[in-house]
Amino acid sequence: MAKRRQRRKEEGETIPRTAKRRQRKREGSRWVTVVAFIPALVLVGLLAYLLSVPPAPLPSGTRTTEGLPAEAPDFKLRIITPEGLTDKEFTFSSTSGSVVFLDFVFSWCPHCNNMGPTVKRLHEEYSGRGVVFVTVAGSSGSSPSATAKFLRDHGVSWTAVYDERMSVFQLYGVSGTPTYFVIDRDGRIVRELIGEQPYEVLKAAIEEALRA
Amino acid sequence: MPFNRGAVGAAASALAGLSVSVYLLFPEQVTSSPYCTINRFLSCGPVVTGEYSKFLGVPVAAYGVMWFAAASALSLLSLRGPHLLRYLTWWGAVGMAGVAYLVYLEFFVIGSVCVFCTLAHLLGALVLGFAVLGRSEIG
Repeated sequence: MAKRRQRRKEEGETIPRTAKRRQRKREGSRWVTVVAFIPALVLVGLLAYLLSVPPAPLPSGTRTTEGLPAEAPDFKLRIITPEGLTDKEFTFSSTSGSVVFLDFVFSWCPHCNNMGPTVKRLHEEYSGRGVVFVTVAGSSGSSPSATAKFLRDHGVSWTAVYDERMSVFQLYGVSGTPTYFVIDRDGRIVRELIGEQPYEVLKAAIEEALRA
Repeated sequence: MPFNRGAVGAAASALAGLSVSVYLLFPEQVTSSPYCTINRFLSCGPVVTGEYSKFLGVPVAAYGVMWFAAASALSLLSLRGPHLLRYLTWWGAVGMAGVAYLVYLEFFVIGSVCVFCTLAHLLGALVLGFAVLGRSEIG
């Protein structure tokens, strides 16, 4: 009898202890679950923040009412050749008196690679008519060696510069590649064309600049 | 027998993540999407086609496909055998370590963030969250 009482007494004490332990365990696992969802919450916050960041605007006063910079901004960048990045600098001046075909590319950009033969064809046709071709290659996600390979692959024989700080991309408000600017003899931007373009569209833009 | 809610959530997230990763295997398609270049910083091009788009010669997206394929298999099996959620939790933790490195690369090395990649990262994080939730349901 005494043993049974002793056992009941023990059980009476152990049951609430087990329940408490279970409750503590349950609360603990609830916290672990909350913590496990933190990476997902952080990523949701990150996505929401990034999507709310407005596109960076162009330097003020450089766009006309049509949404194009009134005058092509001047710049100075290091020249890159199919052999690699050089120490020579190229200074672009919009008041040089020539029609200019400015081509913004990235070496990794599939559309820029698709457009390679078209730009080469335009160069063959218009370089003899005084049109200056300049390729501005961006550094974001690229490298001088990858850019040099891009120039080799597309037989770029005209001036190409490497935008190490992406400053000229920013100056011209380039948000996607390829982007083409056709500049007339007075340094005014006649056309800005974004994305892959048919040969005829680019040709018409150059012809327009030559007539201006 | 009712399904474990955590296992169901993990399976749904893993299968969605698998689809996104398979899509990321085709950079030409991804960069053609209107959601690719949202602004100068939020641009998938440098991420999916740049020099960090491959690891040991294999596209990073392929590692994502493998991770989500394993996570999908484990989470679907967990619907019948919730004890497998333990392995899914560990797999999720491994995935999150990879995600942390990839996010670091995007922000501090490449300087561009890919929306589709971030979506895949989010789905991976949800797999981990649901796996832990499922384990807490088992008790």
